[in-house]
Order: sequence, then structure tokens, then C-alpha cells
Amino acid sequence: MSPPRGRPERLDDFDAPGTAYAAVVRSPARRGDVRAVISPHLPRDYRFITADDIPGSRVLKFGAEDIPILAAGRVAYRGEPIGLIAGPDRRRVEEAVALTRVEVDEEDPPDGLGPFDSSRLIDSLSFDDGGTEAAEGQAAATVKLELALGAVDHYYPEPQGAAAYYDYDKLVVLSSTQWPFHVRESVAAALGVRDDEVVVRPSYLGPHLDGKLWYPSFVACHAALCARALGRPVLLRLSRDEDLLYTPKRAPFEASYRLHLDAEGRALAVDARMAFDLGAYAPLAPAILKSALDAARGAYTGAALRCKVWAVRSANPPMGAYAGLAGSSALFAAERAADSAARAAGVGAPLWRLDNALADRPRRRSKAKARLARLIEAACADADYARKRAAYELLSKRRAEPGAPPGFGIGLAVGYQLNRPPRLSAAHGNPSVELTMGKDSSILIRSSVAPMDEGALELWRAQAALTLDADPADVTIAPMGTDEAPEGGPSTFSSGIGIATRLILDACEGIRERRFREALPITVKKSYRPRPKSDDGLEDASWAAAVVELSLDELEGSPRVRGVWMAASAGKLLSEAHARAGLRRDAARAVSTCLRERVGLAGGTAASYGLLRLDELPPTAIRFIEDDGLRSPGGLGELAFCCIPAAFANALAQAEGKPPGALPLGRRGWDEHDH
Amino acid sequence: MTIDLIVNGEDMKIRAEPAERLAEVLRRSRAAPSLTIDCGGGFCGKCLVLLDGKPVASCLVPAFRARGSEVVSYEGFMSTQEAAQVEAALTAAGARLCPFCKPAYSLALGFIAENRARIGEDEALAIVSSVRCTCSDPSAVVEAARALAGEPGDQRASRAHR
Repeated sequence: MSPPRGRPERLDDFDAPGTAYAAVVRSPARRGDVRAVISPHLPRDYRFITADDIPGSRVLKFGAEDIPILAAGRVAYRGEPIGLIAGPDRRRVEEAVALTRVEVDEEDPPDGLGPFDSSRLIDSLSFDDGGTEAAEGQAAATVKLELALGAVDHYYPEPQGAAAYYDYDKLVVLSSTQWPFHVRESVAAALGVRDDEVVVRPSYLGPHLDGKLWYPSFVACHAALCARALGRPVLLRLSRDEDLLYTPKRAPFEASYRLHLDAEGRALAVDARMAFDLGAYAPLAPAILKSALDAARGAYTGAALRCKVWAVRSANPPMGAYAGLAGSSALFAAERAADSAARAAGVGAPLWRLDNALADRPRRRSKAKARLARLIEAACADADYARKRAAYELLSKRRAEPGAPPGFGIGLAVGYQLNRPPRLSAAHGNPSVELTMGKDSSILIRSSVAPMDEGALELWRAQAALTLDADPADVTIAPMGTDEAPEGGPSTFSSGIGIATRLILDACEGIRERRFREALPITVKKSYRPRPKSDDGLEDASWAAAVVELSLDELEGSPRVRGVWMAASAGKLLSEAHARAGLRRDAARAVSTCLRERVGLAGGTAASYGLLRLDELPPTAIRFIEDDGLRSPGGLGELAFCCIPAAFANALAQAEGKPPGALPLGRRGWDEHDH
Repeated sequence: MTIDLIVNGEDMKIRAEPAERLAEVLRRSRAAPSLTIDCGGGFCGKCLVLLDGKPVASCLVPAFRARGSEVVSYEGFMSTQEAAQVEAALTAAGARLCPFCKPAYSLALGFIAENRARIGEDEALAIVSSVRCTCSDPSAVVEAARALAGEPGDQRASRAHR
């Protein structure tokens, strides 16, 4: 069997002689027993593959979850894969899938995050430092909020897919994945072979917002099974509509949040209950719950905390991480409460945050506190927050008058991103790099973690070249294939990129110390060894403050964002231009996810999804604060999502004069969110 | 059926099924290997080509409608003088595009550059906004579009937040 031509960036460019195409037969029902699967007669070169054809493990194992690679006998969500049809002609394969009937004795499972009993509970975490109960008795006021965030899509540049082909004795899988080694293990387990008999080569990933952590392993198993069955290369790529409907989304979230205030309006205690709908299967449940619990207080660490978080099973497709697990959802709740607390205390939102953020640590000892103060001041100054907020308050008082102008609002929120990559499983390795200077003084970098775009890789090359007095053209970064990169966990967590950057710089220093004392080639290996830390990680986190200004349409009442201002601090910036472009991109997405980006889990298409157009996006200003406390590069990939949605909601609350409903708002702005 | 059309200046006879779209035919025949078929519904714009000089979402065009027409894909565009202008504008704006949307954005921006005398800035923005991708800083693409539409540099600078 001939290998493909070249190493394609895009899955659709996979081009090996004799390539066959595969598509997925899916459950039409949300839950129930499969009564029959009736497929059309298939020509000789076509195959219908079911769970019975899986030679190895029939489940994808992730933590405590076993996810059926192909459902057999019973289905748990609409769209769950039941079978695969593969053959040489793509159109005929798609027609065969469309003609296949799946009959299910459909049940009527409970929906979304309504009242749930223990049968739907996947996992829960709770924390109580004992201070909240006492605070309840002392509180002079309590902010009470009921909040909801709906499912939104990651909308990565390429829908999920994989290609698989045999190259002599090895199965090679081309996969758009954040975790090549998990793909390798999963495919090997499904085929019943050793890990070293499978090689995974990642294709172009681009901004993924953590939507390609584990699901690519699932799709890769499908492609591999088809390649094995047909004995020829197979390409399986989901359509955008399939990807929208059936792959993991940001987990729907509901919270009941209480913030108790003392007589001066300062935060005394937080009492929060948060629930996540993780769908029919929840491989990331422990990590998601932990990230939410850790962020439950947000920046207001001086408050006591009593918090319970639940992961709930439903008949939705598996739900999961979004721009860093679930911390952004918890921070949304904390920042909405902060705004309400400021209003209750009769002080401005910036001042309330300055008084209450990181209040458990003295200012002179906390560089993060000083950093955050500068960020709030910068974002507010750039946005002219104080003047606009006061003006819009006056306007809101006139709302009921005839001829009154439509509502305007301006909102502030802060957020952070920890620079400690999360551990998703016991097998999750730590970031590591290996740097080799060859006899010709060329430099090869092998890293278990890699940025998602070429621009960031260029920065690594430039830094290595600068440190070692070399030409950037002589610096090569090895591809992330499992036969090329050091073994590790997810390769693209934003916090991991910062760690890998430090490791590369350290490795460069190691080479520099040795290069004139030892013969070339020289190889230096560096690994990240997380030390058990008793602190909360906020001192060396990346921080941001965001302001969002909006107005309401005179006729429809729907919000239009007029501007976004962000101030961020993420340690040493290798390239401010690159960092600014990345934050602008993320800010645009964060705004878009507040507005029309609603996933219709009962059905929908890419056209109905509501991604904002370029000409609908607001002007966005980004400012970076020089940081004397953080010498190393920090992560940036989650920051926009940690603060812009809350700033948007705070602005909308002012414009409408009432707490906003669930986000995203939907096309009319007022639709009830449906899970 | 066989469709006669001109692709990137070359006469081509392409076999097509009645229900096939122009995008599928161009990919399958390798006439436009850079073309991306993504949403399949005319929403994302990544399948943009120039059909008889006008930008269209090729996934919405039945293949038979292209009979006798001239199609320019990214491959053909790269040999035009507008291609260098587009590349320069994208570089100056700091736009880094992914392989899925760069062909479509380049064609849209090339169309703007070629027709800047008769289309205004609003229309230029609408044309480039017909492509939706989440890979890059959107303001950089908008800046490139404005530059190619002929908006003076100082007006662009004062408009954008910095």
C-alpha cells in the first residue's frame, strides 16, 4: 500500500493511492435500546463496520469513563456513532449512510440541568472552609444571582476528522488533535496492538479552545477500524454540521451564587452551587469540577467559601472543556456577583474590585494584587469607564420616558489564567523539551508541547537563535508526531506553552554553557516537574481586566457591542505583536459567544450557528502591562474568555436595568436558552 | 455529464454528477486543491472562487451552472499582480491566516484591490466579511481590506483602537 503524497496540513488534502472514505451511522434517538440497524446493500468494496468488528477494546477509556467507540445495543445520545460505512466513493458512502435506518425504542430522558437525582450524578466536589456559616449571620447584605451559560462551539478551523493508512507494519494516523499520544493509545487499544505499532501525525490544529482534547482519539479509532477492515487508506472527516451537533461543546452551566457583604460592602463569604451538564459521557468530569471549584471565588480570595459543584449526566452529546476546562464559567459567576456587590455597596465597580481582590494577602507582599490594580486602572482609563458608566446610569433613569434613547451599558470584569497546566489523567505526562546542537551548529528542538500556529513557532526559533547566536533558519522544531516528539500529555494547553518556552530557554542556556567545552553534538533535556504547591497559583497567574461597552437596538432591543478594552499581564512577552493579535482574535470570539453563538442541540446547521462576521465585530484595544514579578512567559489563551463574557453581562445589566438572562443570547436576544 | 469551463485560464472538461456543486467538482478534479469545503451551505465562505469575475461561494453553485464560465481559484490568483498587493497588505496588517481560509480571503481581497475604483469601503468590508474563520485577528484582515480599498493610512490608524 503506497503512503500518501507529502505530509498534508489539512485532512482533506490526504491523498494516498486508493484512499477510501468513511462516514458515521448515528443514533436518531436521544436514548434507548437499538432494535434494528437496516443498511442498504453495499457493493463489494464497501464495508459496514459495527462494534462486533472491533478487535481490541470496544471502549475509549478516559479516567473512570468508558465511552463506546461504536454503540452496541443501547444508545445514550442523539448522534452517537453506531456504525461506520467505508468505501472508495465518498458520495456513495454518504448516500449509504443516509439510506441506513436505525430503529430505537426511544426513551424520554430528563433534559438539561433541571432537577436531577443521584442516577444522573456523575461526580461532585465540595469545599467549606467553615467561614460562610458564620458570615451568613454577620452579613449586612447578600447578593443573590441565578446564572446560566449555554453550550457554545469551539468552531476550530477544521471540523474533526482523521485519516489512517498502513505503512509497512505500522498504522499511521493523521489527526487534528491536541493530544497525539492519547490518540496513539486509544487506536492501539481499539485495534488490539501495541502502542509502538501506531504512529500519530498531527495535522494543522489552529485555535482549538480545547475542543480537540480527547474527541480526536474517538474519530481516529473510527478511521483506523475502517483502514483495517478495507486494507486501504481511509479518510473520515465530519461535516461542519455534524461537528456542530455531535462533538463536545462548552458544558452548559447553571449556578446559584450568594455573596455575603459586611456593613462596608466588602466580600465576607461566597456560597455557590454550580452544575455542569456534561452530556452522555464525561471523560473530563474530575478536571472540570476541580477547575470550577478552584475558581469559585474568582479574584476575591479574602472571602470565606462554601461551594458545591456537580457534574450531571444528560442525553446530550459529551460536553466538556472550553478555553481551559471550566474556570471561565466559575469566573463569570464571580464577576457578575462582584458587579452586583459594588452596586449594593454603593461604590464603583473598579473600586469594589480594588478593595476586595486578593484581600487575603497584604498588598506589599502580593505582586499579583499590584498587577491587578494596574490592569483595572488601565482598562478603565482606556475605555473612559467612569464617565460613561455615570452617563449611562443617568440615561437608565430616563428609560421609562417617552422618546428616551435606547439603553447603553458599560461593564468591567477581571479574570485570570493559572500557569500550571491541569492534569487530565494519571497518564498525563509533564511538558518536556529536548534541544540538540549538531556538529554543523544547527539546532533541533523536540518538545512535547507546541504552540498551535506557525507564528508562535517562529518566536521559539528566534529566541533559540538569539540565545545561541545562530541563524533562525538553522533552528528546526521537530513535528509533533508520536515518533518525533517526546511523550507527553495534551500538547497545546496555553499554560503549557509558557512552560515549554521557559524550558527551551533553559535548555538553550544549558547548551551555551557546554558548547565551547564539549564536542558537538550536544543534547540538553529539560522537564517540568510540578512541585506540590500549597498556594492557589494566583501570584504567578496571567491576569486581565476587560471593559465592554454596548448599546441596545432601538427596535429589537438586541445589544450591539460598541467597543472592547482589555489590559493583560502574562509575564515576559516574546512578541507583543503576536500576543496582541492572539488576544484580539480571542476577544472577538468571546464577544461572539455572548451574542448569537447558540448550539441547537436538538438540530441546527453552521448557517444557523451565529458566528459573528468581520463587519459585526467591535473595535478592540489591547494593552499589556509590563510586569516585574513574572520573568517567564505566561499563558494567554484563556484570558479573553475569563473576563469578556462577564464584562458583557455587566454592561447588559446596566443597559437593560435588570440581570441578563442566560448567555449566549440567541438571535432575538431574548430567547430562553434550551439545552 | 461533462462540463466545459475555463479554470485559471485553462480549458477544462470536468465530469460531474447532476447534484454536484462547483466546489466538489473543483476539488475532486484537482483543479483547485487549495479550496476548502467546510460548511457546505454558503455560510463560511472558505470555498470562495471568482466565477466570471465575481466572488461566489462555490458550494452553493450547481456544477452545471458553471458550464461555459470562467473560474479563478487561489491557484490562478497567485499569478496575478493583485496577489502581491494582497500579500503585502496582509503582511503590513499583521494578519496570519490558516490554510483553510487564506485562499478565500486572498481572493476576496484581490477582488477588492482589482475593483477599488468602483466599490466603496462598506462594500469592501461586506465582501471580506463573507469569509468566516476563527484563526486570526479579525481586525488585521479588516485593515488589509481597507488598505486595498484605498482608504488612506492615517484614517485607518485613527479608526482602529491601539
